[in-house]
Amino acid sequence: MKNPIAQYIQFVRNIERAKREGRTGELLKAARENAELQKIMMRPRQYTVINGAGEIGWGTAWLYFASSSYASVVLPASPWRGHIGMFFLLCACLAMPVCLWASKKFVIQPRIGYVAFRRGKSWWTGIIVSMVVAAGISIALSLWLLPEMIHVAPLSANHAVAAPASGTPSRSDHLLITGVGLMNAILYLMFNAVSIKEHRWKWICFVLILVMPPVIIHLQPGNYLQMSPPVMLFQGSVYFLSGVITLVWFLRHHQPPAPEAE
Amino acid sequence: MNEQLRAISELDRVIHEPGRLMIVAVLAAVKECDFLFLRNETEMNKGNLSSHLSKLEAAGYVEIEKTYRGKVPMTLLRLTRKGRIAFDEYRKGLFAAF
Repeated sequence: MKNPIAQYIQFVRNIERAKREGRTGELLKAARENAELQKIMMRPRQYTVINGAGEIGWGTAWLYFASSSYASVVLPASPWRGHIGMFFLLCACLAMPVCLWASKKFVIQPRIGYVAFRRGKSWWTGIIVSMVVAAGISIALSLWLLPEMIHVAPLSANHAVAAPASGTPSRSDHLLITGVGLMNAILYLMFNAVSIKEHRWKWICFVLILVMPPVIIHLQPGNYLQMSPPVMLFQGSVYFLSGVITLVWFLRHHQPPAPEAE
Repeated sequence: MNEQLRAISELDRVIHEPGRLMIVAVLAAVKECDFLFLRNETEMNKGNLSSHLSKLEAAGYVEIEKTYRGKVPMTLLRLTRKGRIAFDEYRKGLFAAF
């Protein structure tokens, strides 16, 4: 597929030319036909996002992150506590790819059929740009938070999550938690860009994901490490439940093809 | 108007037929897919789809590969390079026609 920005520029140029030549209606007719073609071409990609597998994967990852944090509080102090926390982190990293693989193999292929997508230059460019941006943000955040983390780290080692709230959250704690909420809310919209028109109830989930982190800050004030487990637990649960409901809906509306008579 | 008529007459007739246009549009968006996927996307019956695919294969636009997934037979379909170029040309021609 062509670059959509280049296509849009070309489209605007064509409209300008058509206006000069006094044939706008005809051009719009062609544009409409082209848009129909574009719609047909975009449809195959929708199956990877409309069955809720992405939401389940992302929700599971956040639930594992929360479990990892809570494990360090609930479990008694032992060498195993660290290993169990790491195990949960590993599960969190694997949740998304495993869910997408399972959805492709057990949900999409038996019902919709096999499809493989092209990974051209633009796909790799997108991946590399995303990685560079993510790395840049991570490094900037680490440098910004380093002085605060030095104070918080000893608290974390001594059951920071279970410990009573240590004063009011700082501005950076507020920013981080609100940022996590905002990021997850935007991601939720991206996951559901296609299906949210059909599933209006997803707007409620979107608002909950966006609004609840600041509410949790007020309910359980503390530092970032104290506030993040309940936020992760809540957001993971919303994502997971939303994904499960979407998957059930998808399975009900996309039955495997009936075997044909010999 | 004459230019428009000429542009319309120059559109690739193999692709211009609505059924085949839909098939080529779906295949242009993916690397490869199987017969079941294409049937779901185009909502055609097996006979129609096979007939259109045969014409596209004869024109060298589509490559059809019979294979197996485990023990289940699977028909893999993909657009050839010639098919992609023809589809791009068709879309350009569509704009030029109006």
